[in-house]
Amino acid sequence: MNSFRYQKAGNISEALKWSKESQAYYLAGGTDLLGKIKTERIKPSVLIDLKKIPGLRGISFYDDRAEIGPLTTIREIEISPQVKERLPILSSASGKLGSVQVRNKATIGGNICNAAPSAETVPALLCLDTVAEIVGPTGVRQIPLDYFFIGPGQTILQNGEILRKLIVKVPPTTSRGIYHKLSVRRAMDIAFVGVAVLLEVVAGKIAHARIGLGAVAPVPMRVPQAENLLAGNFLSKELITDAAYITAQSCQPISDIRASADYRRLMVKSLIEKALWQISTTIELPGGEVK
Amino acid sequence: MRQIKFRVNGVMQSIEAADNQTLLDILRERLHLTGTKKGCDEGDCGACTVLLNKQPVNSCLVLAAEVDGCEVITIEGLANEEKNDPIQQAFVDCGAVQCGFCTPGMVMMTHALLEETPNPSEEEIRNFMEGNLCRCTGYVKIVEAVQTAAARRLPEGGGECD
Repeated sequence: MNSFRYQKAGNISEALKWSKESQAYYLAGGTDLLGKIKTERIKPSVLIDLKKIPGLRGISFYDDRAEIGPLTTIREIEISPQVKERLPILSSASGKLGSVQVRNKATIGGNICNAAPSAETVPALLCLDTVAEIVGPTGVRQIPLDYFFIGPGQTILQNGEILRKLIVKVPPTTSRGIYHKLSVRRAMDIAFVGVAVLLEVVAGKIAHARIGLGAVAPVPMRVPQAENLLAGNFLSKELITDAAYITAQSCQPISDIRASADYRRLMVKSLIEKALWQISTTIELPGGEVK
Repeated sequence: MRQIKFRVNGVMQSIEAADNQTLLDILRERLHLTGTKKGCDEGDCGACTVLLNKQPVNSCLVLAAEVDGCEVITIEGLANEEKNDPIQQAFVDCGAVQCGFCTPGMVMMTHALLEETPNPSEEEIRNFMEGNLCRCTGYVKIVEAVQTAAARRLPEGGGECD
């Protein structure tokens, strides 16, 4: 590995100060960063370890929201009984990232800030209306996660800003969420399509819909057109087909070593249909089953 | 260089390490604990798995500087001079060791799995150990070894391999 200095930040202002150095990188779990350094895709002068900064790790639940520290490990999120109960879609997506060893080290903040289009936790977080709280030299700002990503590996973070907190909306108990991942190899591979669907259903009618996609556009994305189509309606066969079609039309996949753009688009349609059908079987409809 | 103090297999160690050295490299090259293997060196193969504060991690993806003040258990920490650890013995008894390169990582993962799930199903075993590759592809025997080790730890005993 190329040489670099390692510095352990004790607080945010120390980290912000050190980040001014050229080629300074923040270190969270490091499962992605160390790989990039070993293969010389990046050449840091200094790694600023954020793990000892107080208050950046842990999960707290409030009435209608959860606050997640960005340095919480993926494994902690995956196995937390409260996350399983109240944010099952996030628990499920977390369990699909890497291996147990990787998840014990990797953090949710790292997964977000790396800004991989395939970032495993992000489609679920988008469905949960997650807000990113960011701290920088000029103060604190809050940004919906929808606006956090600007390209592969690129985020709105600037001037050494640090993701300080994730504020996640806890959906009502009438909600149903599903995350589907497709990868060439089931384990230890990144998604070539990630699809998250979250519906709140009241008396059989969709009160609230969210669709989040990964690996099928330069950034993880929501699909407002399909969400709007779903909201306010009963889940019918036609609606499922239309929502899946619109979602597939909205994404912008590329062809690469893992899958072609056409295949990705086809799989988005197929997985959205599958997720909506699966959700439809778990909700009670006044008129019985979906026809 | 920096001084790093951490507990390895129950013994306090204080060693000098460069900022860009990994935990894997200091375990093997400074402490001569070569049971922990270097396979891919990028977190894909699991051969370098150790327990860091009781949790299994890829030691190739941990900087030495990060473990200052931590507790690390390697494969050498499970057995003693005279006797195999029961998990190691199950691997031997079931023929789950071929070339042996993946075995330390597999044994460490089995240890971690049985701590949290004493009686895992085959699916749970395969899911938990999906980050450990066996280049001899001897997975069937490895799963049997985990099941055997689990059964032998249960109060009712049993669990012999076929």
